[in-house]
Amino acid sequence: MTADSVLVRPAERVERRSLPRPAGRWLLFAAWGALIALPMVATVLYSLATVWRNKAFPDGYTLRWWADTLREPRVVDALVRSVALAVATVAIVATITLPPLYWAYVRNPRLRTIMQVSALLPFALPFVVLAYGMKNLAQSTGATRPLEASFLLLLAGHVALSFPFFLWPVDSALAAAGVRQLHEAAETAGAGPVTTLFRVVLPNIRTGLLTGSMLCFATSFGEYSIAKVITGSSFETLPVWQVAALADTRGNPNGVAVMAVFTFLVMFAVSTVIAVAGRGEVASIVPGATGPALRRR
Amino acid sequence: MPAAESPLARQRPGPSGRRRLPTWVGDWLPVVPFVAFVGVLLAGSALWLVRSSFSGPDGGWTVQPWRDVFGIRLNRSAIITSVELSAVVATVCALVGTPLAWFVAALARRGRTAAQALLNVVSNFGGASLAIAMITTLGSVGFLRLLVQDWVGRDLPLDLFSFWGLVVTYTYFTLPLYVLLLLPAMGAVRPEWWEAVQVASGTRWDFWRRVGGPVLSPFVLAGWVLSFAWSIGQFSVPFALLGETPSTQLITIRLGNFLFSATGGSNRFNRAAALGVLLMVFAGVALTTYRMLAARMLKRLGAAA
Repeated sequence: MTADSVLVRPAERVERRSLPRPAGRWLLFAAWGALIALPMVATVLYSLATVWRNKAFPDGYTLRWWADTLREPRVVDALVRSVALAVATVAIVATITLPPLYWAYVRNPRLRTIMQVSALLPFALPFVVLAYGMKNLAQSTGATRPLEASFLLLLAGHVALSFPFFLWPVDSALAAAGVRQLHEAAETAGAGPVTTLFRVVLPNIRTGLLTGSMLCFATSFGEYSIAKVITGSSFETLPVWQVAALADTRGNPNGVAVMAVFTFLVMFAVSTVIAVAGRGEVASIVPGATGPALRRR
Repeated sequence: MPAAESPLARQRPGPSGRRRLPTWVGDWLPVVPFVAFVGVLLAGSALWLVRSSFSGPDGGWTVQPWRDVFGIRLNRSAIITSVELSAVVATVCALVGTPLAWFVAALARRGRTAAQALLNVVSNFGGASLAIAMITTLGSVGFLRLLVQDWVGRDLPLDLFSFWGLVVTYTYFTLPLYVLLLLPAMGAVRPEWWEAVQVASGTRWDFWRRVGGPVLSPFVLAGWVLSFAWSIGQFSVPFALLGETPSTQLITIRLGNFLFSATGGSNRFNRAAALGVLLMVFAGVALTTYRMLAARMLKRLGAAA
């Protein structure tokens, strides 16, 4: 107990400074938490149930569906494809987004405007529309026609729709790190732009890079419409398999639940990494919310 | 962070101007791959869709696809249902999400971190997996349905594949996004104002009606607009949930029908393009509104800081 806390009891201080907080808020949180958890609990139960007949809970539990589904070649192939696609997407997004964004801070601010406006485009184009437009675009010229239903076009589509999720956190991180001053200091010390980018700037925006990469990965990993429109069953990603298996009445409903839980675990891991890396900062991951200014709270 | 604005203020670099290449090449070179990749794909696709929506199956210029989209009852009702669905979802988000965002923002740092992580999970938990989770919860043999039957002895009065079922499903993943969007805005309401209201012997209701509400209103409106745009463009969730020939028709489902099954006549791809352009118009108007509101929001936050 310090003297200060004896004079002014902490509880009083908090009470006086804070805005009204009705006691009902924990009730609201609890209700909301239950609603969020319910579908997840249901899916987990379904992925573990032996038989489930008209009762509130399954008759018994088994890990058989997990073992079977994760050994099924079609599922494993789809999973590998989805992961490969998402990793490739993150790599390409980072390669084409990072240098111009860095350059926007140290040399030509207009680049940043161009990129921010482009980052709104995927939101003006619903993903299914974007996929259809790209496919049509590829069909329109003889040179690009072989690409029409190819992996490359699918990858391009994923890059085009997921780069904003990389751009926003990285942009905020660059702004917060004071990249221009870093750049000037590095230049004074005789470093070229490429050296500066890799040795000085990147280590300073690690959190933003991690958040951006994770969000970009998650977007690509869960994306269904682009793969469905462009490659369909010829390059079956995990979401494409999930929807096909869901529609197939003779299929394996418990296996479908298993992969839904699996996807949920991937998203959970991604969010945990982001939360730990960001240490509770209010991350600006939404379009045009113009990070730096909103962070001043 | 004052560093956020400073790079934009200084237009021309000092020492780095000494280059062997012409200045404009150095200025613009790093963005070329980005523009080539993203700009060409996004802008090119959009333009191509617009062109395609005004042509017949063999090319040429015609407004027939648009006439089909608005003239045929099935398409028209799909458009109306989509707009209604998105408006209801956005309104639910605004009504429930604003207090939620307020309470989350008022949490201690650790609680806020946890809440944000959870919100991130849920807002990323879309598409096929969400449809599956919803079916295992509210489907004909869903967990909640069985639970209610077993414990209460009554049938759950909600059909997952109806309009209100879609509202529940959409709200599930849109509400967290809405809350995440509104969280930073909550800093605009200052604790001092509540003290001022109390000094003037005002109640909590007075505070929200005359101070908190008006300050937050552009943020709420912006959140509504984005939730609307986000909902109306959803394809994977309703498609996975309802399949190709559902009882509840949406713009995106019709679009999927035109693309994947042989319905819609010889110009079905042009009709799909027209529906695509329609979705672009909705989203474009929503985003423009959002940008305008965002400008006001920033001014307000600037004044509050």
